[in-house]
Amino acid sequence: MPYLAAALLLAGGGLCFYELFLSVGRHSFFTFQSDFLACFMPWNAHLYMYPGQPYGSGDLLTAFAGQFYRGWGAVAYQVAAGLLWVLLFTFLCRILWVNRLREGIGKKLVLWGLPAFWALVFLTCQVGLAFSNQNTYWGFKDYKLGRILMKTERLVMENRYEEALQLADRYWFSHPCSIDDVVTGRNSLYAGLSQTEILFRLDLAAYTRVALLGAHRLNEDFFTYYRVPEIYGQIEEAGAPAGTLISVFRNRLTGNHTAVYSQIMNVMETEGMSYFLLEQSVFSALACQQYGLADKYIRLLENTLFYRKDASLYRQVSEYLQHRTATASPKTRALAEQIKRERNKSLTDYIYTSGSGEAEARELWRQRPAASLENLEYIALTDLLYKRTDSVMARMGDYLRLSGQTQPPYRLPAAWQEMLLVVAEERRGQLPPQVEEYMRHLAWNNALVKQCRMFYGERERLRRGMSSPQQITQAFGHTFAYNYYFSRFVTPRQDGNHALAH
Amino acid sequence: MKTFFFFLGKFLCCGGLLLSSCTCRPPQDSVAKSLESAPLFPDYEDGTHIPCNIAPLNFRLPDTVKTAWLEIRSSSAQKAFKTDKNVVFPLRFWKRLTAAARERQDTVRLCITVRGISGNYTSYPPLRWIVCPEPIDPYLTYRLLPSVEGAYSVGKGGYNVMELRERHLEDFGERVLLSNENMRRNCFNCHTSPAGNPDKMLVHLRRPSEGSLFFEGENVSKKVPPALEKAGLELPDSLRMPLSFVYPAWHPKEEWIALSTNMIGINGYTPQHQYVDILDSACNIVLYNTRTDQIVLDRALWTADYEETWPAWSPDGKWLYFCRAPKTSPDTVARYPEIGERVRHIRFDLCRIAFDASTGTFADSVQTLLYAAPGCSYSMPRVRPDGKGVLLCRALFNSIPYHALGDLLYLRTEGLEKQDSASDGSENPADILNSEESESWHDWSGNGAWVVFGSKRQNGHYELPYIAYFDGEHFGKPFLLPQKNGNFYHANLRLFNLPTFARAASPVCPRLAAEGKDLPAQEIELRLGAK
Repeated sequence: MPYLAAALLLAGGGLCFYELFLSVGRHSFFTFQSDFLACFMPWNAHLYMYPGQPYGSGDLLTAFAGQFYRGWGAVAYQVAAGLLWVLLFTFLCRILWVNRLREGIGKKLVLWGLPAFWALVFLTCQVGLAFSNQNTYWGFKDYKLGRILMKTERLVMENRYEEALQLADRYWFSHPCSIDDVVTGRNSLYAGLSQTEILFRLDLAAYTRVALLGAHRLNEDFFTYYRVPEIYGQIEEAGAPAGTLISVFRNRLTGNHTAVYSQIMNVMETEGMSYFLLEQSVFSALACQQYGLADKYIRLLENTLFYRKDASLYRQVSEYLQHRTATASPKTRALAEQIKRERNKSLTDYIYTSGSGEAEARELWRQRPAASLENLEYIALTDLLYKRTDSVMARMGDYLRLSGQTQPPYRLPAAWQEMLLVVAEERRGQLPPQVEEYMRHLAWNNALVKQCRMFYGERERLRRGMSSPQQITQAFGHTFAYNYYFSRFVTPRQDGNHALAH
Repeated sequence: MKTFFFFLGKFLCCGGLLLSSCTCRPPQDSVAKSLESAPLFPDYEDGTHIPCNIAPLNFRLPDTVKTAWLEIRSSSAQKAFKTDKNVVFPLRFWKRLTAAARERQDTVRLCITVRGISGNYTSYPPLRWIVCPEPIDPYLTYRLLPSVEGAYSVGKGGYNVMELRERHLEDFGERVLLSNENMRRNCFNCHTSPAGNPDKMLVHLRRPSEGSLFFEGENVSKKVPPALEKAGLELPDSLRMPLSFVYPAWHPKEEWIALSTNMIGINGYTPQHQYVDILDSACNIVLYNTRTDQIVLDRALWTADYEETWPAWSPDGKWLYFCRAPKTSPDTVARYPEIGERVRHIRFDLCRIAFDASTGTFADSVQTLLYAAPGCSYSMPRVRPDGKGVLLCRALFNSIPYHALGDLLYLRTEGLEKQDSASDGSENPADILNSEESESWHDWSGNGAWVVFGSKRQNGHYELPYIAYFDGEHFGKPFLLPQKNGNFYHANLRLFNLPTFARAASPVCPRLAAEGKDLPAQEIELRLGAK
């Protein structure tokens, strides 16, 4: 009996740990642990309180209960409760055996039958739980998708954009929509997908866009996603379940820090306390010179196990920024300089939150012209999608300056090079003198130039009826020229997620 | 046996004395005397006036403090004790400490000596808290809002938890009156009761707008104003404006409620302090008769030329105070097409109009008490229960002071009948309440001796409730609403919005509100005023 109990305990414990590990997802394992431990600190209790319960006595108990009401806590609670029942009944059996059924058939029944029965009940419960939460159990398709999403999210959170793109691309390029869909603007892909996978795609697309922005590849690679309607058709996060969190990452990149700490609170209201995001709030609050607010969040971080060190650094940075303490360490100075650089990107005046990332980015650009390369790339891409070529050409000087290109030969993103070729073709070489100057000193990608010529040839063949839309889409769908002549950028407000009408 | 107990008693007494001498006194020779006042959080400063029935002023010392020795005494009790940085006064002892003040003003004197983590001892100058015999209303209700972008936009994801809570000010008891978790995530706004009477309360449900919940004792009903088009009133097009209840004010006789009908919009923010996420437009004031269940559109306050908002009755019910601004002209719209820019050029005057409660009619003329000026817009008038003054907000622009660095302003109203207008240029007794951040959402206690208001002074972001004394001439230093744990406000991530006093516990509970939400809405009859 003791062996059975111990075995069950170990199995249950292992399962609990496994659940806990699965739930890590959004952050790293250790940051999750820090959040987890912090909730047991009595002074943090009310943060974890189940809404509706009064403050006061029993804070710690409420903290426990509050933790069990959500996510992995609920699973751990169920498993622990199951285990408790098994142990209780095993114990009862033991008493029964010792007192009443020491001899005869009852002994065998108690020794093997009852524990086996309860083990079966326990197993059935677990299997039932597994089937009801398919996305959290190993082996199911939804679980695999969930893992991809969680990993991508974590990589984006940690500013590891290239790795995030590699991971996301593995899914995107193995699950493209059909060429016919691209041509007709329909989306037959969703017909065979589960609701979970559709939502997963929306989220992954939003993370991919942010990763492209962070890796400075938004204007380089965006059109290669022409068979991913969730990316190609829109630049906003509308519709993505994790929309607000993604807006946090985008705004962090573009420099809209006032929005960052507001939106982080919005995310935590929905998802629960996250000390990782709270640390981001400290950064943004310091970037907006909100020292009181930063101090409040630093104090909260100081009470955690794994963020204590970071909190101490941020406290020194805050002191340094306010009073310029002479004894600041190099690490403090470096972070302070980074924050000061962010200040140059941040708002100077009122901004209207229309719920449109593009509108906010443009307003930010108006207030802080040419302060952030990421913001420039974001706006330039929307200009490309709307085919506002003059606007993109007007931003070339800013792009070169922000990307640190002071001497020719200049390098421009692939989409911009294609755009110049297209505009030169359209206007028969009549370009603004400044642009012509840039073009003369541009390090052209010969493959792109050749590809552009081939595109015009193919377009001519299409016009004469010698080619089909499918053929030209197959061959040139990933180019800006194709987008310019055949695609219509559809904003989410117009047609939802269905894109690519020709 | 007797001898044994005698010696045991003596032994215990001696032991206790020895122990108390060890724990309650730091070594005197190594204590450094600080000239600065003790660094408490919340900052209960020397000379703060507190009510005789307030809960203990628990506080927290800085993290660098390892041990603290406290000596606290008043004319009715005293105690010396050793504690850690989290200072908690036992409730019973606190009651004894403040007992004498129920008869006459008393002073609580607090001496603090601390030992830091470095082992150094520091003694701070004594703190004196002046305990006033005027009691504070025993309950405070407030909305707890998440500190998120568009806290009221509960529709965004539908997860924002909004609660109306009632706090017992004499201890730390707190309970939920309304929670949008029970109301399918509705946003609800400005809870209002008649002069601190919790038996009646009015709350509007918004997003989606479903009408208003009227609580009366343990009964609840849902009322909705009719659409103006359906009411069949003969009004010129310029007066056909949307009718929705927003900011209510109960007449002292409880028969009438003045309601502003604002259209509230826009979301946005500025880089630092001025969170502009609300703009009033198309606002007017209507009268709702609770007895006949009728809304009256009085031409004096249902106008095409002005935006009227923030109604507030004088305690005798003869005057309605409100704020108004000229309607935004097409020229202004053309000059400032961006709504965020335009809002900065909308400024409200403080006005009042005479009211005859027997006929339910307003006078013909409006008296403007304070004229708006650049950088000076008035809002939220709240008349003191003795009728001798008005506490209101003065902000840079708009009628939403908590987004525009609002300050509190006290205006004496005695003798104003003989004047055309007043001036706020002279000394403002409420200056002591103001900080660099926004102060707003104030309310008077029933006896007019205490005022509660929301202030963002801690960090410019989180609005917290402050209480201050008023002796009829001067305000005392404001102090933060005491909590059981001195660290509460450090860890708190919610805004305390619209704190209002109540004389007794409210009969409202989340179940009642949930029932009210599911009730069919009763449409209120609409009629034009007599004139």
